[in-house]
Order: sequence, then structure tokens, then C-alpha cells
Amino acid sequence: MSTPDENLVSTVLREYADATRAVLFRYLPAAEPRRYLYDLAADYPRRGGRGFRPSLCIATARAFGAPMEPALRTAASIEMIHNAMLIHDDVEDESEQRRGKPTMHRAEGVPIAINVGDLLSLLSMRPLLDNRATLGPEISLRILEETERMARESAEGQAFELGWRRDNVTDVGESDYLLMVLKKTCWLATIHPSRVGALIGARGGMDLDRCIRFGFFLGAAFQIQDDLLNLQGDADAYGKELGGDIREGKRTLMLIHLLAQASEPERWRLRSMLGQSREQRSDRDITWVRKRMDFYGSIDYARQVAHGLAGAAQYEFANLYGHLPDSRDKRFLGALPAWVIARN
Amino acid sequence: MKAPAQRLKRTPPERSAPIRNSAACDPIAAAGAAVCGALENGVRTAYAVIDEYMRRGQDAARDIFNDPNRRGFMSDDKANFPGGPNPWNPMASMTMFTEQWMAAMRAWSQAWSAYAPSGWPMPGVNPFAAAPTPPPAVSVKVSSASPVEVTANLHPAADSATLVAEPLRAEGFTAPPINAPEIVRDPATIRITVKVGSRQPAGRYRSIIRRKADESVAGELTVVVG
Repeated sequence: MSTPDENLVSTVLREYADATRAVLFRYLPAAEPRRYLYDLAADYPRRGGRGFRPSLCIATARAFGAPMEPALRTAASIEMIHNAMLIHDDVEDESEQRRGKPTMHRAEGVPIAINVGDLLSLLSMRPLLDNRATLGPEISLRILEETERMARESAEGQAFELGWRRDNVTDVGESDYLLMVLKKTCWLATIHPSRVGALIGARGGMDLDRCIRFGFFLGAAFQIQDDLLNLQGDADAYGKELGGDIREGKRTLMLIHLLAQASEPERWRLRSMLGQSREQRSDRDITWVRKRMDFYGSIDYARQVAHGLAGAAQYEFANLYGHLPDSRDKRFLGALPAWVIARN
Repeated sequence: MKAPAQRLKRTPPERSAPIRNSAACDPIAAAGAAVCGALENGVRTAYAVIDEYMRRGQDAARDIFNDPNRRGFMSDDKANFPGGPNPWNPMASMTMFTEQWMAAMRAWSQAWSAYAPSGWPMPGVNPFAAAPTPPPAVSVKVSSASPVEVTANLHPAADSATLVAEPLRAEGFTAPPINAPEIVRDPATIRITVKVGSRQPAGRYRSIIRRKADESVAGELTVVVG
């Protein structure tokens, strides 16, 4: 049974995701070449998704007193960039499924998928330029600058992860992992939406660095829960292949814990397996890693850390938003730390 | 005299205070009991990471502040190449160009903004108006049997248009909406009239105020009953 907070989160997510997609689709041209480009640009957004990122942007702006409309274009831009990055991430990770269907590069081929991702990234700039009409030139330019920084931080985080996998780095520590997550996940998923939402809501009158801590703890808890769902989730609800992170050799918190806890022969086997290509990793390898994670308590360990980070996010939420008057959006933001670790 | 009953004694606790020492909770050192300290250890590590990240960002910002000719990234490049752009960065010249362009854009947008109304300018407003539009005067008349707090948040440009409001809908709970407020504008003031029924449930209600001509949003009205 859902709690009132879970109901609030799902209600707000649905409402803001719908409003965002309505704007997003207006920015996707119904032009040629449709088959190889524009229809595909709408593919991932049409598959759904929770709309977590744009909702965070809109709710933050509204919690500061802004109406929804001035935040909608920025929210649509965030969702476009997110989908563009998903297409490219799926290529880089050689993922097979996204939101319950084959990934774009599996369905359309790598060259076309990369081109569609490029297009979505570029199209995401248009709503930000159109912000001038509602937000004025100064705030609009600041949002562009924020977007540029988010894109750079995300690329740096992704570079860490790809580099570790290519060079089979196995001495990644927890702090390395958290820095990678801060950049790769948190900037796009939580920090950037909070910052631009606050920029719109407070009309430039707030120190945006205050959003980084809340966004970091919330986003890191979100990422660890996502990684846990990759191992233990409901395959239909999750929409991606279970165990895919192990097959892709991703340095998750569970894997880092296992590398630290395993015996020397086990660690040697694990390193060898991680040094292979994705195709070389067998189902038996994946099952073995999964069992070792259970044996050493790596999954419980990661779950505990996620709970701790969610608690820290709750604390930072009170610091950041405590002074704001009560509103549905403020309650939504306050319910997110518990929601990110409870979702399945 | 009765002999005193034998007292029950509690086993002394293994510890009487929270574990604050990270070494004692190190999951690698405490192999089997890793999970017990995972939460505390994970949060501590996370705070160390974000504190270090913020410190580097502040250092970079301080560098920029102290050197007006330089504006750049928050990455480690700044500490390693304090005299200018990173010579090992193939994008360095591009970065300088981009930064100069952004600085020019910022100066341009700030100059441009000086002519635009503050707050949220709405479509159709001429940003090159001779002077910023002053915020409209607003009066609110409320008839209600219970205590009511009304907040009107109107955009600065709203007084140039005929406004209409939607019914006030309950936020986060189920209740019948409050009838749409009446909005009348005379040359000096926007007059809003809100009528709250005697049986209206307590709570927060919100309405969007729109320009009648194009239905664009011109503000919000919030009514808290009870």
C-alpha cells in the first residue's frame, strides 16, 4: 500500500512529466528525414519514463513561488538532454534494453542512434533560447551557462566510468565512486534541475551552490537504488536487463564492496572477468558475481549507504528549503529522499 | 525484617555512545560486520567528497575573482596552470574564445535587461519600453465566515491587460473548488474579490490568473482557509 508521501510524489511526477512532454514534443519537428531522424528523436521520450528531472526543476521553481509556465521550457530541455544522453550511454554501455524495449542502437544501428542523440542534444538548446520571452535575457543566459556546466560535469563523470572499464581499474574506492556519481548522475538528475528551478523561482536572487549538497545526496541515493534495482528489481518494471551492470562491468558500489571483501583467488577471478569484453562474460560469470555479492553482504551494504545518503539529503533539504512557505511542491521535494530509496 | 530481594543486574553495554571513529567502522577492516557501519561510513565519505568538491570550486572561483582577466573552469586545470589556460588542453584557445563570447553576451544581456520589466516578463510585452513597468497596485476583498489568508502574485506587466481567474482548486486534498475570483481593473488598481462559502473545508487553494486576450499566465492567487 502506498503512503501519502508516495502518492504525492507519483501524482506530481505524472502531472509535471505530462506537462513537460507536451512542450517537448512541440520542439521535435515533423520533417524529413522522419524515418532516420525525427521520428526516432521522439522514440525514447514516447517510451515514457518518470519525468523525475523536469519535475524537480518545475517543483523547485514553484516552491519558490513561480508559476509552472516559466519553468516548462527549461524542464523540456532537461528531458531532451536526458534522452539524448540515454541514447549515447546505451551505445557506450552496449545496453540491450531501455524502458522495456530494445535500445535505439540495437533497433536502428549505432551510426543512426548516435546521430539521433546528437540531434536531441542540439534541439534541447531551442527551448532555452525561447526562454527569453518569459524569463528575460539575463536569466535565460544564466540557464544556458548552467546547462553548459551540467553537460561538462556529466561528460567528466562518464569519462571516469568509461576509463575505469576500458583500463580495467579495480582499485576504485568509495570516494572515487561517489565523485563519479556526483558528476555522471547527480549533475543532470538532481543538481542541475534544482539549480535552474531555483534560478527561475528566485529570479536570480539565490546562491545556487546551495543546491549542490541536496542534489548530490539525493542523486547518489537515487543512483545506488538504481544499481540495486539492476540486480534485484522486477524486470518488467525496471525496463532494462537485470544484471546488466555486472555484464557491462560497471563499477557500482556493490562491485567495489565485493572487490574489497573477496578473498585473493576470488578477487583474481573477478579482475579477470572484468578485463574481458561484454560478449566474453558468460551467464555463469554473472551468476557467480551475484552470489558472491550476496555472500559478502555487498547488496545490504549498498542499501545501507543509500539509506544514509537519503537521510543526509533530508537534512540538506531542511537547510535549503526550510525557510520556504508550505506548498505542495515543497512537500514533494521533501518526500523525494524517502521515495528514491523506496521505488522499485 | 525482611531480607532485600536480590537485585537484577543488566549486562554492561559494549558501548555507551555512538561510534564516531571512522576507523572502527571501516568496512574493509571489519570484514564480517561491514554492514553495521555502512550507513555511517558511507555518509561520512560522501560528506568528505562533497566538501572537497565544493572547496575546489570555491578555490577556482576565488582565483577568478582575484584575476579579472581570467575566467575559466572549476576543474583541476586552474590549480595546475594558474598563469592562464591549460597548455595541455587542446581546447584552450577555444575556451578563451568561448569565455570572451560569453562575457560579451552577459554584458549585452544585462544591458538589455535594464530595459525589460523585472520579474517574469510575459509574451507581448515590449522589452524596449522606456522605463520598467511599476508593479500594479492590488486590492483584495474577501467575504468568508472563517479566517482566510489571500496571496496575490501578479507579474509586473499584468496591469496592462484584462485579467480573469480560474476557480481556486484545493492543493493536495479533495474539496470542492472556490468560485473563480472576480477581477476588475480601474486605472490605478487591480481589484480582486474572493467569496469563500461557509462550508468550505480548511486548506490551501490555488488559482491561475490569466490575461483574457491570449490566456497567457499573469500570476497566481492563493487562498488559505482556516
